[in-house]
Amino acid sequence: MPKNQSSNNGPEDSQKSHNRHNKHNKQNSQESHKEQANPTDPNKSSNQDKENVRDKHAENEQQDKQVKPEKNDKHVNMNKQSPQLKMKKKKLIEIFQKYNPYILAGLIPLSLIAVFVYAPQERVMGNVQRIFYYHVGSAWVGFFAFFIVFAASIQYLRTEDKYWSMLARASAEIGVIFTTFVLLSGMLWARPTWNTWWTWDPRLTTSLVLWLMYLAYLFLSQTLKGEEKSSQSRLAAIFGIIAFVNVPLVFMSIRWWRTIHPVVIEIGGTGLSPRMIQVLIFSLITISLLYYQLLLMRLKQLNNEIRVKQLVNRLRRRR
Amino acid sequence: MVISKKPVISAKNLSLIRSGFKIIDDVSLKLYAGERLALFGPNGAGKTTLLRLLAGLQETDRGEFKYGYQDGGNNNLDKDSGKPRIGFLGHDIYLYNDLTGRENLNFFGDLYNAPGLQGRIERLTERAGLSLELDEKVRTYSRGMQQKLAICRCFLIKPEILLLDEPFTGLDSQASKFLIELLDDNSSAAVIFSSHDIELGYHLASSWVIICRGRILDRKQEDDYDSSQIDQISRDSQNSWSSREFSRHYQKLTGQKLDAHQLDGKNRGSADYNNKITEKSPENKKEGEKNQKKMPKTSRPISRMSGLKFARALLVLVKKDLLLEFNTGQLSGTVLLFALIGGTIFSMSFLPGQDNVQTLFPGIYWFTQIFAALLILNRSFLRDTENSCQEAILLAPILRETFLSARIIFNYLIFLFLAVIISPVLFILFEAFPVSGAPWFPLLVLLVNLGLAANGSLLAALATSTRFSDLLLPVLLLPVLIPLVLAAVEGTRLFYYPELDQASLYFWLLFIILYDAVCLLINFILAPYLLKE
Repeated sequence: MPKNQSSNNGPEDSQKSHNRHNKHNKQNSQESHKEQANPTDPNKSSNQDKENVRDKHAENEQQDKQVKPEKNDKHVNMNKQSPQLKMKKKKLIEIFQKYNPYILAGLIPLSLIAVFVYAPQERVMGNVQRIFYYHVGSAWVGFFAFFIVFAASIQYLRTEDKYWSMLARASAEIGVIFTTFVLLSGMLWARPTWNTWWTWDPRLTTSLVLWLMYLAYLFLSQTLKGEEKSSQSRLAAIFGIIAFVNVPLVFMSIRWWRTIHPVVIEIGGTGLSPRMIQVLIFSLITISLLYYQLLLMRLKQLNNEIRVKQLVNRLRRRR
Repeated sequence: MVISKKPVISAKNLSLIRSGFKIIDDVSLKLYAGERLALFGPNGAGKTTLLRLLAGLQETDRGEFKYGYQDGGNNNLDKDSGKPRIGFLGHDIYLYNDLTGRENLNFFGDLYNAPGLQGRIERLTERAGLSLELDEKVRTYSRGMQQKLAICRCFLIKPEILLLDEPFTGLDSQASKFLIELLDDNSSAAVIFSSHDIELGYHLASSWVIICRGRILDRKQEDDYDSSQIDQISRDSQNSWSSREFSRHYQKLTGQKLDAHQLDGKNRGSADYNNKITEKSPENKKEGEKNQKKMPKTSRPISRMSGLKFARALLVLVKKDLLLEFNTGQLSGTVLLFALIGGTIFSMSFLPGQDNVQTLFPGIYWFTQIFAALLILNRSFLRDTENSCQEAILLAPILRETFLSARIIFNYLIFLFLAVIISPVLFILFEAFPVSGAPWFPLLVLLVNLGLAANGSLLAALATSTRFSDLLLPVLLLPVLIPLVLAAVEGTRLFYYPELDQASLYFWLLFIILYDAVCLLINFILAPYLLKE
């Protein structure tokens, strides 16, 4: 490059690099280019945006084979499936996401009816036993949510994609809510049947410890708000992994600990009638869908938070 | 002057974005051995950040850079960590306040396994005029002396790359001369320095860039370098702008006025300086060539470190921690005093007696120690953040796992020290000597403390990367410790029954071993992520 041009090659150069991300604004001025580049920035996009980005890349590849995928762009490397198959899959998911609230609106009343009308009354415990259906469902969702935190945390450390850290955060929040419900409903159930609010049963205690650990996780990610973005998610992810790895150890130690001491209450075998099992499965499905819906909503919220921040920043820069 | 064609740093399209602002914007540069690059720019232009990026102290958001060069040959990058020897002089001086000057230099030299360390320390400090104060604690040094010692630390390791962030601040004229001399002595090293003193920088450097709002100007961009052409790069072509042009461009870019005459005024110095470089002594040249011959292709990812080297680095780090402890007595004193007070108060509030030893004592015994441990875990990490020493350690060619492992060992030693002293005291206060199976007791203590040290160090490392370490640590650590506490308490309880329940004891011991193993494993896996940046 001749010398006299090199003096103002700064802006040009940066534009070049951006155009690799978004080749449509090749001719645009820098300002408008900035505006368009940000929403499609793969690092800051969430579920839906990410899909869009992948789509755009897929389209680009189809339309113009000359555009090589950016090396640093993880998303391009990730989609090895054919674009059409991906589109189909994506569409299915989208349809499902769209109608999930309506499905839930039908399922929740149905499950209420199932639990309170369809399910038979337990002989010994009476109506209190009906807590069981939601209690077990929530416990399952709680554990599952924490597993999602663990998996998303690992994924975040590997890819450093913001999406995973948001997923972990959202899942932890919802998991804590469900586990709180499990603990409370468990106590309500234990009082009339076992004649005690609390007993150091391994399952109970593990849930309690789990609840404490994920409260700590939320406390951590809340406290980290003032820190730098990347270290925030990273530290939270690290604790998410440590906490989950501890779960089996907690369960093991408590189980052994309790067997040394006289066990006050033994839960009987699963003497459930077929009807009870049907209701249980139905409420499991309902609560799982509820979890999924809440997760989506929370993700969207977190994503919007980031976008608002970006907008504010851009406005501030304008000024 | 002739620069070798071997780039020691090649950076391509580096970008760093923080909360929507581009702090570094698409910067590409190559630096060759023996080159001396000056970074100019107004405050907040991104000079410091760029230097930190190049040192590997901060991760880039986009772009990549590597040390050494790619095509074949040998290399003197550290084989295991893939890092060259980097001398970094930042805003922080990277010296431990509670170590003496000599101990500091010894430690940092040992980290790099520098040969002939003692002799070099003597020579360097004498030239810096520090030999009298060498055995004083750094805390007592003046700002200028600290800066001089920091410069010694940089040059001690015979650096291949020198990244100096405003090295002349706080130096008197003599010290500045000392620094310039050192730079000349190490002419085979590639140097980047930032400076606000544009005159000085302009003449000291062989090439320069202006950085403004994260962009750089006037270095040829990476793409323009064709690797086949780079046999010789003449400085003159780079430096072909006259002082007038330079000042015009500087003004255009930064909006700050610069008087061209100012630059011309000191041309005498620069002429001298240029002569000096061209008359580079043959030994120096040879040394430079020797260095470059050793460069193999290496990329940044850290490969496994050989066991021996790992152990050596571990030893150096633990030794440093012990020295710090020996000099201040902070941690051991605190932990001991707290445990003594805690034990006394516990024994007063739970009236001791033989009948309730089994129920109460194991819990009290362990909680006294765990609370004491909680008190110092953070501090053991915060000592390293003083003057950002941790960064200097992470710059060294050691694995990040080593850093955390050394901390675990040190904390383990402190906890054992505590256990040895506090156990008899608690036994006496509570009249609770183990009734049966006493020989097993030390083993239990050893194992539990290992788990405590491993988990505690990991979470303390996590907590101290935030601003609320004191609040966070107990909240994070205690839930995670629950299995260990249960096992420790239940295991200890067994010793207070007239007959030892061997099966239970074995179970708990095995369980604690499992817990320790899991903790250490997690430590090792997560350490590189934890100590990033």
